[in-house]
Amino acid sequence: MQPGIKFKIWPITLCLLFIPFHFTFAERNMQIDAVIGIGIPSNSNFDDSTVHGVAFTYAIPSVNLRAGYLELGDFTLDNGSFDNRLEIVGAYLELIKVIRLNGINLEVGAGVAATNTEMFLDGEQINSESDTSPFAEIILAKHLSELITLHAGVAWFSDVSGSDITVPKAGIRFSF
Amino acid sequence: MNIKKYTKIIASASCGVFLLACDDDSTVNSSDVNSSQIFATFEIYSDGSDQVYAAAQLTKDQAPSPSSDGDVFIRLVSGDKLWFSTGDNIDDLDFGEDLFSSLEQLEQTQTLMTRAQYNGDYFFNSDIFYHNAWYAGRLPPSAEGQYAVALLREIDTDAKYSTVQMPAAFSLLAPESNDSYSRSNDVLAIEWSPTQIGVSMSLEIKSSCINGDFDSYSQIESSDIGMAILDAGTLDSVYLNGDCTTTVNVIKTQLGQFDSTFDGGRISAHQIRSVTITTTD
Repeated sequence: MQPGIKFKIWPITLCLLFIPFHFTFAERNMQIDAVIGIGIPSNSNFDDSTVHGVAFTYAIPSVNLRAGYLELGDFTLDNGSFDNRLEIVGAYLELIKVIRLNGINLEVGAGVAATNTEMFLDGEQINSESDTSPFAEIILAKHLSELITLHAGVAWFSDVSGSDITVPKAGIRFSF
Repeated sequence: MNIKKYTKIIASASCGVFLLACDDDSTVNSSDVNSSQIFATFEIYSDGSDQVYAAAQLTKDQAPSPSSDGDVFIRLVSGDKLWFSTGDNIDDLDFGEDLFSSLEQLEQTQTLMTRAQYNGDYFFNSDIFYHNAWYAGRLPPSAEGQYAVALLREIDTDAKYSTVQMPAAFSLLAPESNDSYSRSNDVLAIEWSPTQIGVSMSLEIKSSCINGDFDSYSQIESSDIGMAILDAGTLDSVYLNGDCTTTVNVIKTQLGQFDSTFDGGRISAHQIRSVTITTTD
């Protein structure tokens, strides 16, 4: 096989995958999410963090593809100061199965997050490491209108720089 | 409007003058000094509590002199840092994949030394001049008793390997707290255990009286034999009158090895135990 072939084929494959859906479904299938939550590490010697995130979703009936950016936040030692902390941010890609219930959607997703963790000791950054972590999440979404959806759920990130992180979260979604 | 403007300018100027006044002409920025020009004075203190204290002072070209005349003290700037640790150098550590656990461990074994002010505690027979630029840090005691101070530099050569072994912990057996002695008539027997070979011993005795009188006495012991006898009258002083609170400090000191990158240096570890008694005329 010629080495260059896969690079020539993958953009075409993407187009084939997405373009038909885009033109097939008349409903709004682009979504932007803003999310806030709490990051709870499995390592109990650290305090919870505040989580922020944004995501872009390509929605087709029953299955969504979501890409996002998440600040998992600052994890400080519970007996220490803010100067001793881990700052974790990441980008993620996720596939979501949408189950339509009575007036509410149940979204079950799984994906992978590419995270970067910066370690601070006495306020000095002493280390920075990249990691890849699988995660899963469950979300309940309620449409307020055709454009706006409120949602709440919980995500589980596995082994982010040595600790599992549970993220209860809520957010607002704009469809267009 | 103008009054506010001028007030701000005057306040800013005052702050600037104040900051400049913090260090006199005998202090230079570390960015202007090569590591090979630095004389390092590192002192580590343990008083048996859950903290070990480190003090550091850097001078240019020579050790700080007793009179401090002509000494040039070095102020750390431009990313130059002093790290106090229980042995391993922070620059050489492998943090592994579990950064959560690593940070927990690091908090117990590494600390960044910060510019400090003298608070009057635990610096007996110190070579550091506390009214000039100096740096302090504290850590939980190391089980092995090994301590290190590293100078990490933004541009010039690091000096990462100044290490010292803390003398072993010991207990004061006599006198007991709140015992009463006559400064002129009583022999004061000071006893401690265990003894240790290879350390230097010193005593420092500070007295402060109700009327504000203050005096101190110190002596160096030739070896650690577990006791020192102060003859009657040793603590007698024209500066002390009436009942005084007297603190007896017993200090074991061990020298370590300073990093050869420095022009010179001294790293020492001091194990200190104290007891407070009452002394009378």
